[in-house]
Amino acid sequence: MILIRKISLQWLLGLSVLLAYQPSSWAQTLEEQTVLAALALNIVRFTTWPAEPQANMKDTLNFCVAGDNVVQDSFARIDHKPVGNTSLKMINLSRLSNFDLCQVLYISQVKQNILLQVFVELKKRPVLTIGEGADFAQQGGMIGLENIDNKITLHINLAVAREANLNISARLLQLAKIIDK
Amino acid sequence: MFFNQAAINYFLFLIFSCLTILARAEDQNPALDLSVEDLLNVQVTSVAKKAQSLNDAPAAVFVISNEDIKRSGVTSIPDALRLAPGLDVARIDANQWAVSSRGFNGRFADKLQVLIDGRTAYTRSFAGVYWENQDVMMEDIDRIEVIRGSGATLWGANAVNGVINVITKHSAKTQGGSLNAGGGTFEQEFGAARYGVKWGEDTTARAYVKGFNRGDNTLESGGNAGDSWHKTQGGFRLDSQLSYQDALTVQGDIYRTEINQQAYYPQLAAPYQLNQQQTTPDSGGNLLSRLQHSFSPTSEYKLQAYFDSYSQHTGFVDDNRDTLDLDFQHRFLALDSHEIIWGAGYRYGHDRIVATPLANGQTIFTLNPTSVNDQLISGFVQDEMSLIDNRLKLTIGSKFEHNDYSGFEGQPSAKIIWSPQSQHRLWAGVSRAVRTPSRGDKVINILESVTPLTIPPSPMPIPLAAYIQGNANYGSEEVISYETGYRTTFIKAVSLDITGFYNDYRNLQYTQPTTPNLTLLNGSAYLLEQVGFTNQEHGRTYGVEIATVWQMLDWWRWDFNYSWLRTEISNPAGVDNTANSPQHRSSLRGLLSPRADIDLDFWFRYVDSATVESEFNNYTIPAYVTLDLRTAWRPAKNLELSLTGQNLLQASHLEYVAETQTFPTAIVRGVYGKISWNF
Repeated sequence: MILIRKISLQWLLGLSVLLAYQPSSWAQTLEEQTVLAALALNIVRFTTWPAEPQANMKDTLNFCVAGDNVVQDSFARIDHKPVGNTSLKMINLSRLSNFDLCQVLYISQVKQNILLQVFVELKKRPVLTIGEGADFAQQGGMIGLENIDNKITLHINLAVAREANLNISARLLQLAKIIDK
Repeated sequence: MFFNQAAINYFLFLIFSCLTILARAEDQNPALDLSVEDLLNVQVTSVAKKAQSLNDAPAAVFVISNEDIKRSGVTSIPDALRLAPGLDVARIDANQWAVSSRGFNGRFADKLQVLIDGRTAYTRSFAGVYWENQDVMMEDIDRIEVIRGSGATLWGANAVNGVINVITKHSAKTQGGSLNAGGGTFEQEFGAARYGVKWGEDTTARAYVKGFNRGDNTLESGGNAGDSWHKTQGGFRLDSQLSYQDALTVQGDIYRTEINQQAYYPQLAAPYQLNQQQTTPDSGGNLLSRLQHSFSPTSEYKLQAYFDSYSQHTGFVDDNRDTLDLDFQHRFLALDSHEIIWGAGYRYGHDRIVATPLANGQTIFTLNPTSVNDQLISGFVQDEMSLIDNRLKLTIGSKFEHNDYSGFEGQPSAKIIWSPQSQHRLWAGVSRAVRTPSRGDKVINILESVTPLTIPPSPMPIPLAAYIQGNANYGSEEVISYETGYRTTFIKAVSLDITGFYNDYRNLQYTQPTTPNLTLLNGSAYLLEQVGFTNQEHGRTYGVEIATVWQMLDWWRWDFNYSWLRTEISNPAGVDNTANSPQHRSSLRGLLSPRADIDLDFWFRYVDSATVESEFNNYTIPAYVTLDLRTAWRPAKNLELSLTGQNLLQASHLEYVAETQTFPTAIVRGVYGKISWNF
């Protein structure tokens, strides 16, 4: 009994020693959501939307986000960033509706059956859809960002983007795994 | 006790020294300066997510993740619930638990609704949960959602003080094999195997089998408690995307346990108490099917049907129950700012609750009739209104149901949540919930205790036999609950969730004593006392619950919970302090991963003293501190070896005393090793 107490105390003391060290394996890491937001900004910069009639031209590019507070806060950091000769405008969607507002839609953690309905609703409309995981682009999204062993991999569904008349630059395509169906 | 104090002091010191380490400077988002190529090459981490995300529900919600369960080293659902604030989880012995939310705890605690993948684990027999029979493959739990406070509007009667939703993973997330096995002192041996497959493009499935042998604890009075048990359980889950609009889930489980128990029962003849070592088998199973159809991103319906059957045995009664349940829910968006959910349900139950003779050949229990069929019809509607988009939401709704025990019940609620900024949430709510009568409340007749009384001048003692008598007029217990809460992540990597509540109870259960009558039974003289259930107890509880998460370093997270609870109950006999849950409870966990392949976890729990009303005595359970430690090493990516020590600070400690049958049992220290291989 006393032995166990001693051991647990020693264990605790060991923990305090650990406090002094910052293991090097963690040193060069960035927060995932921050990287996803920065990637999304770059993806938007590499995408060309079909030309709109003069009357409908907007002075901002509306970037809609459906996600929790962590996602919203990360994407708030790319709000107002310049893209070509316009700038991004973040819109936090509280419901999965009113997609007419959006040129870009970033969706985080939505149930699969709902996600499929979003893709159906956006079919052939010039809304760039970006989401998380390998399946996102497989199932009808345009760009999926997958975390594989703590690095982000890009999946691009070229067929869906093409149907929506969105043009994604070759430089980005080179870096991605392409799905074309 | 000296060590406990020393340990507490040590930890206060440790926390203090941690606080002196400055949080890393707010980064200027270097990610924005990187090229796409660099962004795709940089190492990313999401460890801080847990400490940053805020729940958007206007309720006291706490989510226990799969990772939390694994790293805490717990081996059962009730033990996993100790991770949540505001819940009172106490182990009665190896195979029985007392679990409640916001007070009123007991083996027969009756104010908590428990669902496992949408199937209710709550039984009408005594309006509570047989925790020993609720199990899943712990490795395949996705999360356990714990909602303290009334959840009756959505989950129906008996969600008086809380709802627990155990949710297992989608079968697409459990592909391949998983072998888990281990053993130790208290957790003598256990194993769980699962295999998941994919059939075609759209269908995934898994099957599992698990089993364990748990050892004996020690009696508070000394000696072996004889409470070991073993269980075998198997099950499956299949998920299929039938079309882009329809998803089907079919799942089921089957189990068998054998429970050893050293039990005591009242007996009419001297020595007026029978002690027997018994072994009782329990078994059960369920089959559930759920179809989800989506019309659009904002409109879907869910149709669920399940059948559940169990057979639960104790020394004096066999409780057999079959339940068929149908549930429909539809969610849609109306007028752009109203999310409406409505639903309807039907439940049909068939039971057979019969007395079994004790070792002395006598029965102490009758339920008349022994078998009934009962029905529950329910409907609900709830409107979640966006008053200010992204900022202010009001949710109002009500459940309406009709059951065979208390007739019609309405259970409305109104809740509001304000998000002035993305890092702050303020919410408040008021709701009504009822605990509908159980089968036992209405018709039970049980010999509760036999106490020899010596009444001068007679030198011979006369036994006083007390029978608990059901009451056909016993009605629903009722609570009006007021709650408010605040959640924030105002400091990077720290989240704080604080809830205050005030519950006003009416018509609680009070067992009314009557004047004993002198009666002749089998030729001997007895004083016979009938104790009847009445709705004459009233009272209130109030309290505060705090949950914090601090990701101090990328590899070190702290979880701290604290709950404070006051219980004030009175009945015609005066103030009732005989069964009060602990006033203070706290839990401190440290989760460390000093290397990517090593986890070190510690978990301190402090539980204040509590009072318990048991058949022949009222107990005060002393306050206690426990410590669990876990260390894990992953020599390869899919292989993990771990060693867990539970309740390390004492050889054994008392957590609760059951209301009946079970001798006060102290929970022993345990150490076990485990190996997990996923392929």
